[in-house]
Amino acid sequence: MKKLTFSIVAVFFSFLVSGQSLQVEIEGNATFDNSLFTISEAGNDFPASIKSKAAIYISIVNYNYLDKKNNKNNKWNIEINKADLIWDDNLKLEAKRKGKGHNSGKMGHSNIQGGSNFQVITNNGIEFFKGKGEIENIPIKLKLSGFSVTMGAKDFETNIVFTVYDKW
Amino acid sequence: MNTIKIKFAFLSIGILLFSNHVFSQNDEVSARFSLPRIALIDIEPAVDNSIYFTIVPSNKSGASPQVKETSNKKLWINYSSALASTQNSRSIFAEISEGVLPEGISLFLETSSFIGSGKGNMGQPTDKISLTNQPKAIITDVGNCYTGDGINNGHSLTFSIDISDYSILYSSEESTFTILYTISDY
Repeated sequence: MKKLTFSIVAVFFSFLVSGQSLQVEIEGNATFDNSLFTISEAGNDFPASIKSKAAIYISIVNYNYLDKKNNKNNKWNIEINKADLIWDDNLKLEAKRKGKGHNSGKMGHSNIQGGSNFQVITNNGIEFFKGKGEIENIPIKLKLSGFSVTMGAKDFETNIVFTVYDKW
Repeated sequence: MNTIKIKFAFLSIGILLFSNHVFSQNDEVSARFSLPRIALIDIEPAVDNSIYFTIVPSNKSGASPQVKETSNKKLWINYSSALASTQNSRSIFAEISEGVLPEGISLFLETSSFIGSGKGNMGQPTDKISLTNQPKAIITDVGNCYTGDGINNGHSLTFSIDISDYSILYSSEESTFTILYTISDY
């Protein structure tokens, strides 16, 4: 009985401690509205670049109660990459952090660094920005360039992947 | 008791190892956009793009009247075109949409090959055409392209007038025609 109790406690404890603590969650959509692709005058190409009208929002949350309680300032960084579905090598998708979001459940400024300039999203992960603790609703703006009427009328799609690492 | 201690030691080592491991987790969002079909055309210069011809009698008796272009202006056609993947190409047509040519007079239009700052699959000019009130192709095989905007971009348009039949040529007041250009999927 003693052994069984120990095993249950051990398993529970290891779940609490070793379970993945930080998670990234995304809200919003990254669709570039059709109205952005306009040509002002015959003979011209599309504008050189467009920015997404709506932002997407990233939250870094911690669902590990024990970790959350004992380590409120967990360090983390966000890597960004894309996984193309229908894409063209001439297209360039960039992202930047447009704000700091807000701390989850506590007052004060969120501790977040980097990512405030547009950087190109490639198919390989690059560090986007980093921060400490739980931060909600970090606004991300997207910029698209490299498209042209010479590509013809087509649909394009890529998945933007945000990965949180619990390290700096 | 010893067994418990050993298990606890293993557990502690395991936790220590695990806590040094870098965890990662991801989420993704789909980024989508659609490049629309485009078919835009205009004539440059955009303002004051009228061409004037004057037919004057010859100084020499028995000689044919002389046709002079008095405006000395070159017009350019600019276009932007993006086709659906199921489409092959477009054509550009010209016709006299307003006004009637005086009898005995023919109005011709010659379109140059593309020059300018644009890119893509430009259209090919047809041979010189005689303008009527029926649309005639002046540029064919327009693909996904843009010519560049303004004069010296696209295809230059050269108009000329010929007296085709002296027997039905009468003196008249000024005649005005409007030329309509259409970019079409056909």
